[in-house]
Amino acid sequence: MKGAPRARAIAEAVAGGEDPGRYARAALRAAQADTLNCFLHLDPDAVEAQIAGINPQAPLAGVPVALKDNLMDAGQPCGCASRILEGYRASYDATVVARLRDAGAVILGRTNMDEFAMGSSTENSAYGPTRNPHDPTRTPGGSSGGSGAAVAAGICPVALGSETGGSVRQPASLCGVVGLKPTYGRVSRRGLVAFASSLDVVSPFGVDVRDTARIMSVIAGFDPGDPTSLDAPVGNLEAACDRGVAGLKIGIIQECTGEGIEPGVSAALADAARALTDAGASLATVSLPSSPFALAAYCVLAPAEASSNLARFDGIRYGRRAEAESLADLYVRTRSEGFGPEVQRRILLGTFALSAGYADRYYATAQGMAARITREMTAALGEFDLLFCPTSPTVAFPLGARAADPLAMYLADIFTVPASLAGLPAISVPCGRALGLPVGAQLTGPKLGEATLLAAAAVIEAALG
Amino acid sequence: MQIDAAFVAELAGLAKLSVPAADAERLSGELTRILDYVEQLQAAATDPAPAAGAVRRRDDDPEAPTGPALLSASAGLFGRFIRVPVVIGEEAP
Repeated sequence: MKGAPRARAIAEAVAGGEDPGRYARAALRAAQADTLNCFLHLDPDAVEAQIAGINPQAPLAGVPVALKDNLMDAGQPCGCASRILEGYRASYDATVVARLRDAGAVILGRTNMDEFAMGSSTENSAYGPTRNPHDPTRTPGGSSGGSGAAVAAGICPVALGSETGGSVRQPASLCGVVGLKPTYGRVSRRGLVAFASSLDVVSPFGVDVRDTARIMSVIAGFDPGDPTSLDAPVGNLEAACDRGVAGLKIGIIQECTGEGIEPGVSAALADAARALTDAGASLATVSLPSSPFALAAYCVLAPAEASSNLARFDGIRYGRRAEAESLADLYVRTRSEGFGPEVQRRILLGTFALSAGYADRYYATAQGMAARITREMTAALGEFDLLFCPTSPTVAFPLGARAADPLAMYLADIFTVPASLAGLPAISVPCGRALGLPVGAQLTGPKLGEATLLAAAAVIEAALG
Repeated sequence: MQIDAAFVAELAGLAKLSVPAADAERLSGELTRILDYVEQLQAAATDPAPAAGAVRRRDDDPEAPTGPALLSASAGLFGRFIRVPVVIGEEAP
């Protein structure tokens, strides 16, 4: 586990004259031998073509990077782990993919995920679940479980996923790696297949905090191709990892303690809190009274946006097309045969939430709750530099344990959704083990506060990683 | 909020999905349970919902692919066109 060389070490070796293809080829061999179902597609020829163009002085020179199957890489399949996009190949590069290649990275392959990023276990993939490297009978989390597991298994040091309600932080926690959800708009969404556009954020995994900072530095920054992109300087995120936490005030979210959290998770979080205190931070409890309602709001808002975004998959322009005698029949057959059960469930839920007679009661109320949660978190972050809580109330759960109960599956994201609704940056960093499985501590920061998050995560990592 | 099988079928029609009767029964229970969970929002204090249309700048991508690159993604490509089944004369769904 975590056997791959760090991204920083690879870039340094390549800059010093090492064969720029050495690490990507080794990663490709590991990915081809993978038994966890991390990858949906590998293209050795594409890997070789990228190796040929590497600038050895670039910040990710020769670093293999795994890509979630909802990010566009020109000419490669982009299927969102869905049957409805069978045969579809991306017509352009996502901005993050172009930036990675410019930085010398080698796109290794496309990783498994819950279909259209809807899920918390990768069990909603049309191509079977990914398994957790720490215990193959358990889930790696989701929806970006393939990327998280690939990093945890030591196949590659960094990977990209996407967040809507916790889809990088939760698998990072369950797999024992670092996952960073940037501020909404900090990283371009151009070329990310939309799930819920007001929440979606391309987000990196790293084998450690500094590798996460390195890849984040490459992908972050303004992009005119994304109308929600923020025009703000990124700063030196790697240097921030050495800042420490002396003098920082960190709020322990009261509503994310106690009932419903596995005892081992609570114990690991206590260790992480102690590490922060020992390093000079002051910790105190803070209440976010509306945060327990975040998941209920998310259960309305995300499906509502998804039902609209996924209307484009109708058999006409992309991917799969069913046999049909009429246009109306083509739409229905293509979508019914192509979308899996969870996607169909969320489309139905979103269609309901936006329908006449119910939109005010459900959608507008959920929007009002999201606004309230944003206000409460922003106020708390006026008093504290960071907020602290578990990433997940449990360690990795067995495959199949929640597959028949959609609501139980949604509850896996109960602690990650508040930051998503508020558009705030948050990070999950390993802080120990419970029942022999990794536990992640979550830190949430103010808008554009990624540097402080990385600094605090580095302190926890140094003490407990 | 009770979502019965008939309502599931109605929603499926709006969403251009076909839900077999047996699945409609299962979905009615699942959707009802999710909406029962969501119902807690009705008793909670909320802020005013933000105004719609908060896009910050024009949705204008000068590097967006056009023409053949986009057409080629269709399974119904026919020369410079996309072939579709008959539209004129078909009955409304």
